[in-house]
Amino acid sequence: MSKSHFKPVLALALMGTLALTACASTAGDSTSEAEAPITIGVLLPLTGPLSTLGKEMQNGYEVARTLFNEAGGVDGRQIEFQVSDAPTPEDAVSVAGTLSTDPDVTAIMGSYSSSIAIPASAVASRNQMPYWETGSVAAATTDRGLSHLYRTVISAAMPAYSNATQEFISKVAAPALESSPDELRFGLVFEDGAYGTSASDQFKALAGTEGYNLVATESYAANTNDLTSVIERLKAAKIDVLYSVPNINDAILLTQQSAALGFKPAYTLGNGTGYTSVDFIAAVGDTADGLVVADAAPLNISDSLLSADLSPTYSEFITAYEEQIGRKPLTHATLGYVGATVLFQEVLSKAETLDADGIVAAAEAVDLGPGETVASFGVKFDETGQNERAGWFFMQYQEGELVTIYPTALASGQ
Amino acid sequence: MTTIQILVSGVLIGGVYALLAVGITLVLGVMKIVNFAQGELLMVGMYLTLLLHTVLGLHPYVAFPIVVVALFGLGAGIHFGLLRWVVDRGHTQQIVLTLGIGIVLQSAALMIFGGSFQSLQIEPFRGGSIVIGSISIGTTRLAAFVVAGIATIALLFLLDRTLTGKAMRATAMDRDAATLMGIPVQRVYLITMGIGSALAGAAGVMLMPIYPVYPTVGVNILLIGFVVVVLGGLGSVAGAFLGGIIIGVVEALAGFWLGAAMSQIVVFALFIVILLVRPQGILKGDTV
Repeated sequence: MSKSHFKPVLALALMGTLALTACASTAGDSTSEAEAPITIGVLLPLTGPLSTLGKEMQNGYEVARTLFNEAGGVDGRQIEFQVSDAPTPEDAVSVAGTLSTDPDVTAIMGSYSSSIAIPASAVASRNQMPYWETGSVAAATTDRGLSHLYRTVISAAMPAYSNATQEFISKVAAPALESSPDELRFGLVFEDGAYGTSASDQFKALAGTEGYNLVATESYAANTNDLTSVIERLKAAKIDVLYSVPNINDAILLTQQSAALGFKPAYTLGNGTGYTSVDFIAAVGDTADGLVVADAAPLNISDSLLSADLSPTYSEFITAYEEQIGRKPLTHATLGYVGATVLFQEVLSKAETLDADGIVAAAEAVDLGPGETVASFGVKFDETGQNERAGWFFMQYQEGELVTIYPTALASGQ
Repeated sequence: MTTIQILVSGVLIGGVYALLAVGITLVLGVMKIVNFAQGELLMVGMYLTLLLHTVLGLHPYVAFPIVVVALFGLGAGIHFGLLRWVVDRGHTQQIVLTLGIGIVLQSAALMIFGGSFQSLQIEPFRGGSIVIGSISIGTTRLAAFVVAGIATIALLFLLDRTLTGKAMRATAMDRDAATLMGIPVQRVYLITMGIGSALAGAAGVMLMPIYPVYPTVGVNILLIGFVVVVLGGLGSVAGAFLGGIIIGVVEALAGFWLGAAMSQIVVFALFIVILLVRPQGILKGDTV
């Protein structure tokens, strides 16, 4: 490139820098400390293949923020988000680095996917920045014992997770098939990323302890464009119950290709994520009816099942969400809303100081009982930062809508 | 019986790979440019099909000619506005440019459509399949395979029997000599890029009822496309078709026998073996 080509490039770069400086100086204007907004760094995959549910979770955050700010914020101080896109683990590392060294950011909240949460929270903890995880389910997220990490959602390593699955299989699935768990032939299919591997490891462990007859275990890359070979192997194994852990596009592909290839196990139990996205419902329509999906928050429950002190109530949450987003929330929006609301109401509002130590102390003091969040589970963090009261729920597609069927106390439909 | 089912599925998905690879190999053969934006052109084709369906209610197979013509225009436009400036330059410029075009198209799709997975469902094609004995043949996949076959034959006919095709082959063989013979080389390139892009569009239309579209959908498929092109022989149209089928079948059989996690290893191991043992590919690149 000749020298003359550099001039316009340089000029552009200079203009860009000037514009950025201008933005920065308006952001840090002279509002007094007492009224200054509190900035939360939001770290989510908002582009790329993980973005569908990343956005769903962001919707939950936004609704929580709107409701909390309308109710007066933290002593009059409003919550502001600094939203950063982290589509890949590499981006997660760099975004977490930027957010955790930004003096304006009080805490980081994210990140829906375990593949994003694991690297991002490591960076944040190294920089002593509180990291509030509302979506990742993989065991590794909290198993590492990071100092500043708190996870409101269930970990696949928690007994509650395996127990719920075991109870559901013995009390609901097996009776529905007029059989007992030890007589059924189980198949396991999962995407081979961090999420699928973690969830399937837990199922394998459960199958081992419960003596399930696991006759087929199939994994595949989530970006595959043909699942014929996987489906044929499952078909050949003659399974009764399929436990399936896909991401979004492969959940669509698996459901459609299974229908096309005539693979229909007597019972399909899907694990969250891929099965609880708007894209999945739009793509497969009523092909999904009857499918049972397990995920970390119950859908379509009612106020009467939750604590009377809960504010905003479940129906207020649903109404606000419908007004702001234009449709009902799905699991990840609910989880995002719950996580953000706990952070705002229980941590930021009650912390003595809004520095890392103050937030850690407030997080450790959180003590919400069952029914005190819209996802029905309570919140109390153990020494690894894991919410030991998080729950695991079973829903079924009925006429294109997910209805909670287990635990039976929450069952609005059967 | 199951093995036959796997074979059939492999051949059918191979058709989609072939459709993409034929476009890459044509541009490579004639223009000596590796088009890294081919996957994104396929993505544009998919979104256009989706848009024509949601806005005008057109069935994808009815939208087929519109998408193909539009993508021909897009490809020709890309050549006229951008590629023609780098045809004479080194591979580095060409690679950076086509990669850049791909990124621009990806980002544009992200801005316009967002990052979600959008599917198109049309009866009777959703989950529709023809069942022969215990073999089930997905109708949308069969259609994609048939289109791939027709497109390859039509392209071979064009290259072999028409004046345009002869000009394309002459340009591929020796650009300078072709110029001296009075062949308008830049126009040949324009047409080549247009056809290559139209083939990506055709692949997009055929893929849309099978697979959800998202801005980076082209990236994974493109990788397979390159393997197919190398396997078939760089620049060989018939080779690309054959290579597509072979890769489809190898992937499906390896997936069935060894597990899906292993199928990618087998495909890329095959790729390495071809590069070592027969770098010219199955059919030497002399068709174009």
